[in-house]
Amino acid sequence: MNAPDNHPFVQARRAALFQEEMEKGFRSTDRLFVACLTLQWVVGIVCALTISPETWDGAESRTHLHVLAAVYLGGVLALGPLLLVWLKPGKLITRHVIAVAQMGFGGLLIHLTNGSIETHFHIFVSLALLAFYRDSKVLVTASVVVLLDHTIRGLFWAESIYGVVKAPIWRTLEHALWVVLEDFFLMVAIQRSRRSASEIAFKRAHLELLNTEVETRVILRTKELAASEERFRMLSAAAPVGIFQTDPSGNKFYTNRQWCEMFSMDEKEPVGRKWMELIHSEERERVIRDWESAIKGGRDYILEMRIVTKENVTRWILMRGKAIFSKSGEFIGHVGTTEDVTFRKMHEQELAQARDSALESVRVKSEFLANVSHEIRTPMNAIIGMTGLLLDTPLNPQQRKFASTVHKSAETLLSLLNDILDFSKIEAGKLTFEIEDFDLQETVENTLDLLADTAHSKNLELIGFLKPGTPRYLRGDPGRLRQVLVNLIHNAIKFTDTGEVVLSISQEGGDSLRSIIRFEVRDTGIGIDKETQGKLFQAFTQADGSGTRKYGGTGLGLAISRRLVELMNGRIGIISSPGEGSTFWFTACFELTPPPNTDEVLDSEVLKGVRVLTVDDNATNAIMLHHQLANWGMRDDHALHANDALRMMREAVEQGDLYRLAILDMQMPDVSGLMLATQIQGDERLQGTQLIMLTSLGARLDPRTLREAGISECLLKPVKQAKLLECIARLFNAKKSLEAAAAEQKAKDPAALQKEAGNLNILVAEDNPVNQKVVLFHLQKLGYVSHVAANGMEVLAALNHARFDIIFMDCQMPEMDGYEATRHIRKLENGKRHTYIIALTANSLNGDRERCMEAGMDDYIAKPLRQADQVAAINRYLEARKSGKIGC
Amino acid sequence: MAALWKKWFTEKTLPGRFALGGVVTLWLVALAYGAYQLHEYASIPGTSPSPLQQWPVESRLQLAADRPTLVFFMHPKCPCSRATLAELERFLVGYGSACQIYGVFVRGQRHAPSWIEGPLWEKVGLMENVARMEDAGGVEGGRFQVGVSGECFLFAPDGSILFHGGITPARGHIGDSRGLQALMSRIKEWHAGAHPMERVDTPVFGCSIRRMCTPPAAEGAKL
Repeated sequence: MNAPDNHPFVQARRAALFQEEMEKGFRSTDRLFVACLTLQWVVGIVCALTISPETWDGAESRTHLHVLAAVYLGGVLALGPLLLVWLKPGKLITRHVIAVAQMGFGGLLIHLTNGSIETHFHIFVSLALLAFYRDSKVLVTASVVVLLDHTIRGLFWAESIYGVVKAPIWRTLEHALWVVLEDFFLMVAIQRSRRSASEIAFKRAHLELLNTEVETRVILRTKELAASEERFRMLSAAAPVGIFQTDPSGNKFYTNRQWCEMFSMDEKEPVGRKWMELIHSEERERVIRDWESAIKGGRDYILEMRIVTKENVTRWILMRGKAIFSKSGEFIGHVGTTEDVTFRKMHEQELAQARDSALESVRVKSEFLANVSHEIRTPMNAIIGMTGLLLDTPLNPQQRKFASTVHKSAETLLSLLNDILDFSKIEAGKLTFEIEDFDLQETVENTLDLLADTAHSKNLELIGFLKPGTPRYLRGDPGRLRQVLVNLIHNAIKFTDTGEVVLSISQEGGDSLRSIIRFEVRDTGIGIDKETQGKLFQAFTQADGSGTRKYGGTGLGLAISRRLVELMNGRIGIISSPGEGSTFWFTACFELTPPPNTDEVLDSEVLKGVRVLTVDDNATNAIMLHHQLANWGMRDDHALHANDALRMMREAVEQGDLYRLAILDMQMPDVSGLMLATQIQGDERLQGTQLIMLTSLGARLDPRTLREAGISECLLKPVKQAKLLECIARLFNAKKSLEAAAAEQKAKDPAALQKEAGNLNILVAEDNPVNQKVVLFHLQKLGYVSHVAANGMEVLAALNHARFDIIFMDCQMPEMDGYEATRHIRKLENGKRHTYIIALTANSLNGDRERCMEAGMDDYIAKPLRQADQVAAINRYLEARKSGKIGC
Repeated sequence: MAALWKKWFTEKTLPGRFALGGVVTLWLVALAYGAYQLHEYASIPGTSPSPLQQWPVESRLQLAADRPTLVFFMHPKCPCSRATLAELERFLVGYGSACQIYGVFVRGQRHAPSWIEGPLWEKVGLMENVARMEDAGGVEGGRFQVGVSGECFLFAPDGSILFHGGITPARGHIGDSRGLQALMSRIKEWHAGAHPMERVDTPVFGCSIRRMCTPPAAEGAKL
């Protein structure tokens, strides 16, 4: 904003303003002299008329020449300048003529006063007046006139100018000197005045420039503001929502047209709080309370309300207010929008009704499924239980085949039923995950255990291993993980006729809190083409339509797996080519947990540096063993054949670094593991090598045969890492390990537990006679004496007469169901004693377990009942009783 | 019309400039003319061809025997004579007692006696050593053959005329003049003993009073 002094505009404007100021002065001084000259003229006439009105010739008189001279000369002196002032006011010629005239008046006055010295002062006064022009040249002109007058009259008519007959030249010079002296001071004053005027002009020019710039900016800003306002007005007018603004007190002072239309108000009506009168009476108190709270607190707010317009139309309004603050942080009000959400609200209500209907449908469906499940499981329970019992009885081969077929078909049917229920739960969004700490390695190994028999029955290698660096202790749902793994591995086994099925697990990503685990199930099966791969994870789809008939299944397994993986925040996919096998993979995200505090018996330090030879024709197995052995610090080598193994072992002896351990695979081409072991046993140099046999047929190997072949340990494939470590550690620290193993075996042996616990008194509460028989037979096989009750009432009656250690309680019974009976029992016990109650239910839907626990039950078994489940439940009771968690 | 004139004069055209120059020139000429006329009026003396050489014996004024006698004639209304009286006042300062002085106011026959009363009459009456006299009908004026107001006569005791003329430098103007200087000079010379002396004449500036004076020829009949 500070314009430079030499700015062209300033310079030009300065000159113009200065000239303007000068001309203004010229004109005003012109007018001054108009008055002055006129006055002098009039005064001259008056004086002439007064002093010498007449001249006489004897007794005759006539007008004195002085009167005529006053009129004429005064008139000429005055009228000339007056004419010029009129014609050319402020012009150079005018002021110079005025100067001449004024000096003429002075000369005339001096002449008429006979050169009186007093009248000479008229000259000085006149010069001073002429100085008003602030034009030194005017003074020069006036002074020249004066000097000429004095000089001429001084020389030729001294009486007229000095009142003496003859005036010396010095007198004229003296007068001239005084005139020049006055001129000098007047010119100095004029110069100062002009300088001052110039400075003022400069400042004015500067100010004008600033004003111009300011005005330009103001105009620009005004235009911008107008444009902005126009833009705002257009936006506000075109906005599909109501817009409002309030002061800090909440009084509205701006609303757009849409707002007014929404509230059916004129444009001036919304000012203040009149809009509140339109709020529906049922909501007014709430809305005003929330609104006032936001206003007082200077906070944003969102209010949803109904309003009733003048036309008695009810509308749903969504009002959003945002608090606005000044630059200094002061709360200055709210701006906001209002939206007519009536249509949306109606939709929401319709949707809510639809949702309620859907929920009701789901509830009915779930109930139906539960009922169907219950109804199906009850006969299934009988079929599986009875065929199981039947198979344990002496049967001829044909009978056994028939019974076995029935048993397997029932198991298949149960599997299908479970798939359908799972899928149904997933579709209904009711599938829940249990979150608990688990051991990944243990979970995987248990899963492989489950499927080992199936794989081995097809003569397939089933291998599983965790790659190094994979976290072992995780938090998640191991059951669901196991479900997916079982599904994929089961599929792999199903579609593979020869070769192997390998499960490898690795860490794909994660951070300090979570880990993304990648699971890969690779098989050497038939493979899947690209087209089928795309549909593979869809429900009711299988790799091959014809395969459905050949391999069976519902086609739900992969769909369920996909949903489960997604619920574990993972992905699932397949890499496959027809004839080259398939690799199903999936990822799952788990939280990391610290390893549990266990009294580790095995000292892996002992194993460090121990040289091991693995002999296996299967490369995958060899790699798996290499990872495990290397992980424990052992030095391992691998031989594909028996001959290679023998050669390597002998070379090692020669090198003085013999293999202290050899792990042999039982099933190898040409020379089996057993034959190799026999050969090793026969070589005296190799006696220092301990032997471990890995076999799928381990259970069938005779211990005597093993001893004769010098085999120290025999492990079932797939080999569990923990078992292998335990086995190796036992070989290298045999006495301690055997004691520990014996103690562990004793702890885990059900028979031993039973022996410790003595005979248990068991009550079976079951209304279905077939199921009653199944349970009783199972318990009888285990050596327990059992009693039966058909409903809750009978249970309570039985408890009045006897004391039971365990009650197997069916949940759904006539008259009094299991839940009710349990509550009564717990009430009767009143905490003084505790009967162990195991729920039996055909409902496998969510919430059943919680419902049982809530009723006071201790354990839960889903129907159809299997003997293993019953044994496991009884063992849990025995362990709990032993640990003192429950009283006897 | 005036606006047209103004426009014509103020336009910066050649005719306009010439017109303006012409106006200014005319103005200067008019000024010069006026000044000239004024100068002429002031510097041209009145007609006073008095041939008088001796004191007129018929005069009722007394010629002083021991000193010169100064007689001046005034027109009672002549504004120019104020300058004469002003010069006379200066004269009286040094020469008031050096001569006998008569101030004679001429009154025309048609005028009432009060006609002569006025500032001049009163001023002369206040002057010391000046004998104010009324010359009714201009008899004395006729005897002295006066022509112009302010005309002075200086006579030696023997009746010879020493000086005749005005004592102002111009009409109505005060200030040094040859007349006053000559008057004072003659008195000083007479007192210095210079006898006889030549008559000195100077121009007289004032209103004419000739026609109010009675010629000597008509005096007897009148008397």
